Amino acid sequence: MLSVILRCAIASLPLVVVSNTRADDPPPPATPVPAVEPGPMAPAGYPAPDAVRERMQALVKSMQGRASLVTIATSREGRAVQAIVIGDQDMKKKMPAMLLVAGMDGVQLGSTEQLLGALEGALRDNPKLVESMRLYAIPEANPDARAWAIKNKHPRATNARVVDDDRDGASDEDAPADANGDGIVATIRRVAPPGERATHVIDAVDARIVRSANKDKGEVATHQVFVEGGDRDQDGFASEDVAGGVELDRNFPHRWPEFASEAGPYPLSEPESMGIARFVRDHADITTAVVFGRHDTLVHFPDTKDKDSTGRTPVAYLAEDHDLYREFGKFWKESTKIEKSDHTDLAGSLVLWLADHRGIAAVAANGWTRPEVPKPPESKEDGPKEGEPKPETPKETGDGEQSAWLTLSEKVYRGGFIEWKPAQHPFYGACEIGGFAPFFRESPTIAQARELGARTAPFLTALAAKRARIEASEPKVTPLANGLAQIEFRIVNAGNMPTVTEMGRITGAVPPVIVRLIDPKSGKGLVPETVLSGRPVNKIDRLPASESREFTWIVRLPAGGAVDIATSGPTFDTIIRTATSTNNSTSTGASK
Amino acid sequence: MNSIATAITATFCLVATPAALAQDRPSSKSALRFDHYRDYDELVKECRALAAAHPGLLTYVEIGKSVEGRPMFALILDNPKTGPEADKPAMYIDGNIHGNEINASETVLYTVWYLVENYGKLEPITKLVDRTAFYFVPCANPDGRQNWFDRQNSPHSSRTGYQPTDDDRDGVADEDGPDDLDGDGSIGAMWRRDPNGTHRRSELDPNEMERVDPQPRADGTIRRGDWSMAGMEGIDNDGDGQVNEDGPGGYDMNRNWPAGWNPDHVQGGAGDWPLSYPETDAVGRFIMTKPNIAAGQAYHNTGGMILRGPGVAQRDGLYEGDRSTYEVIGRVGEQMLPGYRLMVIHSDLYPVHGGFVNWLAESLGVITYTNELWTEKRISQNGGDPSPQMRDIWQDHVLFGQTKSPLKEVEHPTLGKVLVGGGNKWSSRIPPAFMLEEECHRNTAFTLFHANEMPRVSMGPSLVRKLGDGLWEVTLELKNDALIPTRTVRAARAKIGVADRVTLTPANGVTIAASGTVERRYDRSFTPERETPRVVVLDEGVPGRGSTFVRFLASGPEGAEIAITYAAEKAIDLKGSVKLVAVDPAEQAKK
Repeated sequence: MLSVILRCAIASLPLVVVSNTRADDPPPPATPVPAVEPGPMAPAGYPAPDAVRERMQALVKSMQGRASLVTIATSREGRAVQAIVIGDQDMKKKMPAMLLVAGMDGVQLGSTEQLLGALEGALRDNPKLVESMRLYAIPEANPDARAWAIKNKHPRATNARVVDDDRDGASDEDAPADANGDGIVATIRRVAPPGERATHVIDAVDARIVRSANKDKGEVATHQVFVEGGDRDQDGFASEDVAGGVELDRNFPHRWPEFASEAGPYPLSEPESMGIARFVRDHADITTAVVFGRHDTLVHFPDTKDKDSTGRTPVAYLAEDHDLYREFGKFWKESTKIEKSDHTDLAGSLVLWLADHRGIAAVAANGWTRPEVPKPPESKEDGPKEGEPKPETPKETGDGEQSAWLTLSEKVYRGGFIEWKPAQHPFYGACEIGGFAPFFRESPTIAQARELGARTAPFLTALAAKRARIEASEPKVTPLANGLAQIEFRIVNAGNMPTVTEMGRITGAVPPVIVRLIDPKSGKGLVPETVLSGRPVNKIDRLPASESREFTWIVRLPAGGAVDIATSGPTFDTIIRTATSTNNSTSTGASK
Repeated sequence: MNSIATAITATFCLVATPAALAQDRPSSKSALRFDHYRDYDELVKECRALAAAHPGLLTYVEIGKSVEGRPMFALILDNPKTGPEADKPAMYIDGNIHGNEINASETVLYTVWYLVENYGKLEPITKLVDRTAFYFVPCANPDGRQNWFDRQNSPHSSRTGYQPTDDDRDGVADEDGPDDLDGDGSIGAMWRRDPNGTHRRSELDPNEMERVDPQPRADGTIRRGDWSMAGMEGIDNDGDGQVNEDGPGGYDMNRNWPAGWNPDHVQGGAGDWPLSYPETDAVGRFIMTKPNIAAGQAYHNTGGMILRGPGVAQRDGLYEGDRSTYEVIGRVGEQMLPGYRLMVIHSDLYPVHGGFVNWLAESLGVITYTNELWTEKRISQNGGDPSPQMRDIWQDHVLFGQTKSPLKEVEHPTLGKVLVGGGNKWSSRIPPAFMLEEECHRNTAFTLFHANEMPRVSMGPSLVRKLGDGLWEVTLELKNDALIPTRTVRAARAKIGVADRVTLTPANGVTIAASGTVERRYDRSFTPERETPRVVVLDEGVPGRGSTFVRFLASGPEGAEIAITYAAEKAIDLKGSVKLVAVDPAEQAKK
């Protein structure tokens, strides 16, 4: 408070480089990515939780003592939620850490594969990575949802909390189910019975497409659409009380959607989300995080500067941090070549909680959107030969997105669409059952997910190269009269990232960099009476890249006396500089 | 209400109203006295003893452990002979979530004691206990309470729990708390000589500091004092140049509830996330297993307030539809509690994110208040704010100086000579022992009034009309005599819990053709139930001081019977029946 001098300009004090490994070396070239055939549709080939664990164990084994598995939660069905901890296991050396999370639901099955593939690739491409960054990976945050989805061949977003969705006092008693015995839970469409509200139309160009009526074009809805199922609890509603309760990615405290279905009764009500939260709280070294799953903040940057209803927490990212996040987005696009993503609601998501409550530079990565439809072979310049009929340009349907998926199903995939078949349903009566196959649109195939993982590896390497690096100057000691000395000292962030995001500074959740004066004899802090000007303990909440902080103290330091200056923080080993007073002129100390 | 008001005045012959009656203190089964404050260990002992003295009525249950390992407990008051506990509307009452607010626990203990003591003696109490259940958590912050007694504190310290917390973010937790420099057992203010001081020693009492009037004299000269405040009693224990910046704990468990919870940078002391402390987690889990809770009360101090939510303006809409219920019960409370005012937290006090009453009211749909116990207005005869002179008389001649320490000079390691003393931890926030019992009683009376307004549903007379061709129109009345609806508007709108249900079981040969609800008994049309006519779902329940009319059309022979059950989370379930015999309650009333 008294005379700590805070100047941003770098003075002419000598700087000592602390570490030899430069963290911001350019990342090695990306793993070449082979073009892949999509192969059979998800969940075919996707590993169930047991197989995921085996792969995690194999990864740990391959790290030869520099990785381990930690159980961070037990799911409601008794499965272990595990984190891979990669880096020196004695945890003696402090370094920044990156958190990777995937498998938040049983819809984005590819996310687990993408995380593991990217992690394995990054470690292979850049074996020195672990020397300067610790990695925490939670590839399967919601094993119950994934186990159910893979077993039942149907996407499921929620964990296994038992919830009475229809509030009739019974739980999970009316879940979607296969009604026509083809082994697939698909879609039911029917002509709306007289007097009932119709919501959809069958497309005039392609009768496979059932879509919303386009009122602007004068269309009138004729059909209704339901998830395949019945009314097993005979309450007049079909499939209204599904198995499973809470979406983990809506169960985190920032902008938690209170009373929204599947957001949980309160934030972090679920063992899986709570396990992640505890792990994050207990690891102050986490500086960056990537959540693989349904959300995306990398392709479509949440470009809002708005704050939530308190006016103090951003709706998405704090404006002051936008440049950093945009740079992460650039890495992503360069690495994965993904230029497209779907809009999702980030309320209650893990990524926002990490960024806005925990002050971690966190992004959400969605590796899966509709692939580009292969272009028809280019027609020759000269057009149709004379005498041949001019080929008809196909008429456009009223739903380009569904058309594109249908084209993909025909040309790239097999079985992406189930032809509508007439059926007599006990609850819905005369109807058709069919439509897009489960997972066709929701998840990449296993082959595609593997390819995505390989493409994501350079992104992780690029992210890992972003970090703050604190360097400390040698102190300058100027003897004053009567055994007093003035000590000048400076720290600089020589890295390419701030010590913490600006949001992190605001939350106070990230420990500061601390500069302390220490008596070398006792190893304890200097007693306040010894320090006549300047604070014995200084906290630097945030130090942007290339910026420095200077300190000036006046202390009782008789000739030959020494004071240690200790600079510590959550992501680097404590740096000690010794200020020694000599009889005559100015001196600089020596590092220990 | 009249009978309750009489009961209050009857207990105290101090109140010189014409209605006041002299009354002996009732003989006691348990010799509890409310003329002193108990530390946590004694509180546990008394509560266990009370439960042991009233088997079959009062149960002591452990619900968790505090950070320092003390048992967290609840007392469940229920007479199983009058029906299962879960079927009865219940009131939840707790206190002392702020460890220093010790009179809150005494108030809860008094309520427990008063109910068990007077069960079977006072008719209103007996009736209330027989038709309801009560859940008490006398102390939601055991460590805060015990440490307030055991350690040197001010009236305001030990508000926190005792999870070590690194308030000054230097990597060490709880290393620089206040220190009792003058050895009086309390933490007071430190005063330093200052030629430009803001204060001077009072002429009336040299042990008090008084502020120097900042207004210039007529000739323009400025008054200067010779003392200035130098913070609270303490030294720089960790040598960082700051004093008292990292005391024990350092958070606020009443900002740790999952209703509009916000992190530390928005709401100081909020904790890592909702229910992040073992104490709030234990209480929260206990409450979530009791969907029959229909009324809630939390005790705090100080200031004489009956507070309701919301804690922030943005959540005001969540009280729409329930405001009048809050208003009516709260206004009665103002009559019962001299010096207390009904207030809204965010607009009349200060903004609170993640407060306990907000969670009960907004997330669980329960009519809940927080009382800020004790107001200094009770010092003066006329109930106004006491003058400085009145305060002196109070401290020196009524309390005989028990709540303050003389100013004493001590040597401070960094500040030099300082004066330490003033009001000790017993001052300002809690009533003196001789006024404690009255505070406890009046607040108990208010919560029992509130409890008595939990849903009291009965089946009114049915209107049965013969429509011919064996067809009957039946209108069943569900009547709630209490102020609190079986489902608050909040609960109905946010779809909290399970809706009330009426189930019709007709005798053989009778079919229910359609059913639904009508707004008034003689209304023609109703919206038929979609699922099955035998079950009428009442999402909005039965309103306070009002009725819900269930209409059904039945076909069957004259005289046939239809059994009716009414099931509700927050009201006693009912069984009844109706006969297919034409009857009009209005006609009957005439007779």
